[in-house]
Amino acid sequence: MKVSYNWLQEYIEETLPAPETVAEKIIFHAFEVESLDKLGTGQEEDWIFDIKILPDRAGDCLSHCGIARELAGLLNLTFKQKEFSPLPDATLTLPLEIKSDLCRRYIAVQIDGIAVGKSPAWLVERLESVGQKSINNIVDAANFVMLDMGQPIHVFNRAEIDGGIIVRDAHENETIKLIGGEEKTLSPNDLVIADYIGALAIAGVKGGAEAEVTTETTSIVIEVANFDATAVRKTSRRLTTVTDASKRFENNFSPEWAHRAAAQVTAMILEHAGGTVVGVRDEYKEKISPRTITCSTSDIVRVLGPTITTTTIEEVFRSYRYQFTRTEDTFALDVPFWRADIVGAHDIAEEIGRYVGYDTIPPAPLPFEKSIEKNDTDEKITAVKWWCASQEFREVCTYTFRNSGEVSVIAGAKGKEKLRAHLSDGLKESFELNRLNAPLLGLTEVKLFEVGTVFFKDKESIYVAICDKGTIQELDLDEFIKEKHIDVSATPSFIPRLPSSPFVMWSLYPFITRDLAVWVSTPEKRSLLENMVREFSEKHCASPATLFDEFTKGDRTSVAYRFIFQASDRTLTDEEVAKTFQALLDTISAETAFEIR
Amino acid sequence: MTEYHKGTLHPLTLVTEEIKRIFAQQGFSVALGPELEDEWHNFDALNVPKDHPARDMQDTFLITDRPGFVLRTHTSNVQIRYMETHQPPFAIIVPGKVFRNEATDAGHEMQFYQVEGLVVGPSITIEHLKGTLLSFFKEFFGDETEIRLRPSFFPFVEPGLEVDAKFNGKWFELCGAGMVHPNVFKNVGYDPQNVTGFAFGMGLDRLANVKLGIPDVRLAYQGDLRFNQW
Repeated sequence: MKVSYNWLQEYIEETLPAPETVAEKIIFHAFEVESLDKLGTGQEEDWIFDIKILPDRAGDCLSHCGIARELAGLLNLTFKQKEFSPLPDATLTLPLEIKSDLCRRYIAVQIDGIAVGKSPAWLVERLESVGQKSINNIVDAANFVMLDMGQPIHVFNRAEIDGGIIVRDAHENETIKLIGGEEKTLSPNDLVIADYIGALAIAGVKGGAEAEVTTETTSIVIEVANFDATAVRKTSRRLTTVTDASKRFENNFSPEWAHRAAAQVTAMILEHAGGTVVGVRDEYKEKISPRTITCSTSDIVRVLGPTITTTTIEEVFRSYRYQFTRTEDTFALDVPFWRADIVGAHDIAEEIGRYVGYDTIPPAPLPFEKSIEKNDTDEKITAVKWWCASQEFREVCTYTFRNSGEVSVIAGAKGKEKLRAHLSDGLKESFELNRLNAPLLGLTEVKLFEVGTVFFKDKESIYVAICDKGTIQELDLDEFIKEKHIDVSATPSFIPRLPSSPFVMWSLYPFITRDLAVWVSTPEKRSLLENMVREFSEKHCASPATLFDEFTKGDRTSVAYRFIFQASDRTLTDEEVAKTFQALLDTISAETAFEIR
Repeated sequence: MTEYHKGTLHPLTLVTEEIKRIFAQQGFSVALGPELEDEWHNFDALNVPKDHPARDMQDTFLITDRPGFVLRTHTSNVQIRYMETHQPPFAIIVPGKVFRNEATDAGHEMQFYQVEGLVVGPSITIEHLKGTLLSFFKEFFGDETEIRLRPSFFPFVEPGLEVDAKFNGKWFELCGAGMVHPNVFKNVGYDPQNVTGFAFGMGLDRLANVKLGIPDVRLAYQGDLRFNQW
């Protein structure tokens, strides 16, 4: 969520610390700050934080008011709530009927005689600073209040509401054209705001085009409501319509805020668009009951360790301006209604830990005896891998997802919907790949192995497959151990140390091989040749030259080397390689002791 | 230059062995478990509610014609299975393959490896979590390594933490962690009044890639021996 520094400041009595300090505080005590950008200059200067609100705090912190309250607590500053004139006492004549418990609260405010137009410059700027486009003085007020205090608000054109408002389950295959033109087909699991003719909005998700506010609109009904979190989430996911509103409702935004939000948006609209409030109605059946949680210092210490004292806990509660009573080491905390996420002592431990900062917690070693329990399967796997490597097999890891198998996944990638029932197919492909690359790898034969889980209709098993020159043998882990006479208990604990040399990415371009056979007559001459070959291949080749053939005839020995040429940035041409290779031939020919075959 | 005269192990095996070695020094045993798992062990027991977004098929591989089963999305299923059959105190690590139904790129793969840890006992605090992970990262990346803990959220822990490690002068987000949520203990039949514990989880591929400078997570699963550089 994009958050403006100046906007936060409106909620804090004292002057906020510098933006960088605020960002740091948020990162180490609350949420991840993905970016901090400066906007404008001089008087117009502002800073925009992009804050990743954690899921458990999305109910109270997806707003400037919420972040400011958290920040005030963390910095022990004074949070000040904004004040608005209360909603006038006017009875709404428009019929309103709530036919579903998924609607937790519904406030409707009707204003007549408005003039839709541009928003004042400060409002346009403020919205734009956090990436929200200005639309008109009505929609902007609704969006502003949502970003300001978290309450999503929808505004209907009163002239398009036929008869009255009904909050009800959608009919099977009922359709609605949303603002923006997209059409959605609904089911009875979706909640809609409808008039006597049809759906006007998908509750908590998005409004319809039918009753959208236009430049001609003169009478509006403002909806400040609250809907069941799970229901909103399901509808918005199913219809793939995730909106600013749905994000807030699905995270259990408190219905207690609705009245304040209604007063705020009404005041803004009256100020910017004129008009008179002609009716207000608040349907709020099940109010949120106040909750008190009792916890003791020891409840917190057993989670956060002994550096936390009763004094620390009291300090944190005071800094957040929480209402609580303390009897010796026991606290009774009145949980603020907007903190539905606090349900037990463990959550209070999180409040304390977050506030004090985890950097203040000292590290400690585990407080009990070290006794390692052997894991049979793990030991067998390790023993098998070690045996394979000792037999010159090289380990590969191939995909679990394949195009054939007994078990398949729902919504998997095309051609990868099945879970492998054996390792052989993957290993075969690996063999083909590596066989082609054998010269590059300096291998005369390719020997591979893989240890991995395979899936059958009713069970999964760990299998071992080895591939020797293209021939594959695959067995269940235990059978493999038996067949190869691997003594698991006698295997020296093979614990290779991780190398420190960095990975080198290979070239994605083809390679070219060149062979060279030379007659040598003495060991001295041979070592001279070997040096030449090594120096040349280190300088010009993709891997060390390999000796691939050798025979002796009379007093001379023929040695044959293979050279691999490959560039990291392009495909080499035969001419280029021929030219490079000729340089080697020339050097060798210049040495009279050698005869190139 | 690589020596080609003997067999080689896959780099993820090397990294797993290194991690097992380091945690064994601190008294951690290894636990393993199934890759195809029921939703109880993969989600419910871990305090992940039924309607949690992570359970959607956009993120999790559900199994055709086997309702209630998934490819595990983390190795935490083994933590549950271990607790169901063992009594505290204990310290375990769980290395293994996990699956996520997401678009693949250099940083994301449908299959990858994780190592998770779980310590439960009568007096385990966040201090032990910090001490354990600090020792691990120092041993894994080098003695000059620092770590920092930031608030985070996972349904199976409270408080939840993100652990960053500083390697070669740069901070890397490498590990999710936290104090085991009391609901998780209740779900395996432990009394949360008697035990506390911490858990952590790291991407093995990510650890390997940071440590060894591997640019793309997908390279590990091509069956390409050019990947076995050590």
